[in-house]
Amino acid sequence: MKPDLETLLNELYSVDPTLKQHEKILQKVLQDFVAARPNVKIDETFRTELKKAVWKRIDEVSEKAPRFKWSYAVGGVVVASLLLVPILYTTFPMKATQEMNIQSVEDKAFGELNGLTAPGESGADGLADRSEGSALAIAEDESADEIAEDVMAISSIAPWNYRYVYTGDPIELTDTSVEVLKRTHSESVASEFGNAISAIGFDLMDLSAFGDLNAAYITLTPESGTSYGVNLDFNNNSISINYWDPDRWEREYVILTEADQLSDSKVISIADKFLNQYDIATNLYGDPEVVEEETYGNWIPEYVTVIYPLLLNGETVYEEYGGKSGLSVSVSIQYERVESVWGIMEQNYDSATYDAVTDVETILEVAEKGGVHGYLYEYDDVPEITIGTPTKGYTKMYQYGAIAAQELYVPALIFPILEEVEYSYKQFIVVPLASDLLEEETVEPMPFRIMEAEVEE
Amino acid sequence: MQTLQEFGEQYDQYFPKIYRFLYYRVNDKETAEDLTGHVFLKAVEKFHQFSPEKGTFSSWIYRIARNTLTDHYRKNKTTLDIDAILNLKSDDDTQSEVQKKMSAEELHESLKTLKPLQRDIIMMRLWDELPYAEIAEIIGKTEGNCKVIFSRAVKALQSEMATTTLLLSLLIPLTH
Repeated sequence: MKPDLETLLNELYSVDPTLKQHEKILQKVLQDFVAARPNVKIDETFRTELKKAVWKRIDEVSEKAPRFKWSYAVGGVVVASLLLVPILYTTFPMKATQEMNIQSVEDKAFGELNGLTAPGESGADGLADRSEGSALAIAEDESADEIAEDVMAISSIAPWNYRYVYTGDPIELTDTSVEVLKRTHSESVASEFGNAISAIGFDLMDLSAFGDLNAAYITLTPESGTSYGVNLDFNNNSISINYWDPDRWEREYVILTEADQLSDSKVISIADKFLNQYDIATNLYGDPEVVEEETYGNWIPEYVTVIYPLLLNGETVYEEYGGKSGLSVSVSIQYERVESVWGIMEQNYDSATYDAVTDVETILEVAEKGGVHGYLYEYDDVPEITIGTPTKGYTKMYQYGAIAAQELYVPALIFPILEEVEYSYKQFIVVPLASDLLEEETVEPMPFRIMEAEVEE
Repeated sequence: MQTLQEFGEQYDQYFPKIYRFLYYRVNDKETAEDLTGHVFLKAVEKFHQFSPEKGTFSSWIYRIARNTLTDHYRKNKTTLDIDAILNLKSDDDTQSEVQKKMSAEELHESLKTLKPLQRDIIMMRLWDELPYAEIAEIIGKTEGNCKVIFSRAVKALQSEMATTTLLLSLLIPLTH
């Protein structure tokens, strides 16, 4: 129903009764705003044409919708195989554009936040895969020993504790609440898929006798030769892709040199081409960036990662360690091809309101230590690194439950590190804005207990 | 609403709302039509994700429209263009038009001081005429939160415009 002026004014007074003393100006504000609404003339031809297109699409979608009920009665491999196609299609849509849905839920619906942690491994975004592959490959080569010595030598001299000193503009915190997002996915899909596939028993047994089975992971490998395999993860409805090379470990390992390095633009163009070729949507992500690698001595990494940072409400998502988080594409330098893709997933979220931290000093104290889980050891010679005016973003954190970890996205301030730090490619310090998380930070970690020597009596 | 067929049958009810919602924010017929087409076809494809337990169909399709608009701004590296929307380029300088133009300019300057979310909620309440409950579902905040944001935004506009009106009342006699 169209709200009249009186209704609008009463709504305002119910929130802030002091506004009543400015009634005349308020009336003018509201009337001016309503009067400024553009006149819209609807093109009836367009309305009719779109209606036809919508009905045509409804017919197409209705035809390919999965019909599970009759499959259980018929059973068998053929029927199950036919079912898998629509299930996969509707669950893991691989399209040139993808939609993000954010659904509001009750305040603090995700419980206490102070148990949230950063991911223990970077495998979630594909970085672990790259380093693992490289390390294994190096270990088989004699020259790897020399590189390992380099690594050890650098590790022993690299400072491991920094004080991040804020040098930016004064920070203003005006919001008293923040909207924390939690990634959601349809759990029924795993069950539907499990039930459909249990019709397959290879003539050995009746899998359906186990009752309701949920699918957890499915790996699809290429029929022959080297190509790409696809992993479907039903725990979070995500897809990853890996180059499939059964002879990988028999191939001669080549140590790369400076001359083999590819320019950032070349690496990004390889990643872009791959995503385009396989219709993997990037519309919810920011511009791709090559992730800067830590390098040790003369070692050139075999793989380079391109990250397409996820955007939530128009703001970039960061891992808690300061790297950008999103769709990750690993590119082989030697073969100039995509080696793996991680992070293709549904973008559905629940959103809940939490209290925001409003004290700037608290935020700067956390930033000084390098983030929520940083710790500053108070030595005299701690090197100081300057950080600048922050931007707003999100940080990805994990909430561990009985079955699976839940991904939470917490609004955060992202402080840029303003100077190059030797032996470190950390570019940002991330401080979440939910007060629960910073309250936890005020509790200092327990020092290691030093065992006292037993005193002989 | 439970089925795609029902959605198709209610197309005529939602079309003008969504078209206007988009037109108000892009101020261009062709762009508004493109985006409206995108919203409805996307709604058909994603209909299986709509859950009546989680909210109304109306707020669900508005949310698609809002996401589509965000994508449009992002792709074109633009934001809501207040100048274009309030259409200040009037050549008619009769006295009443001058005053009207002054009102629009006041509003325009005041709107610039608001945060994007405040502008968003004001537009949804005053132009799209959406109830707070629906605005809350669309933007993912509580109803109370939306009311507070609206109230603070209007208070900020009122404060800005009170100052401008005072200045204008001092200036206008000098122009006659």
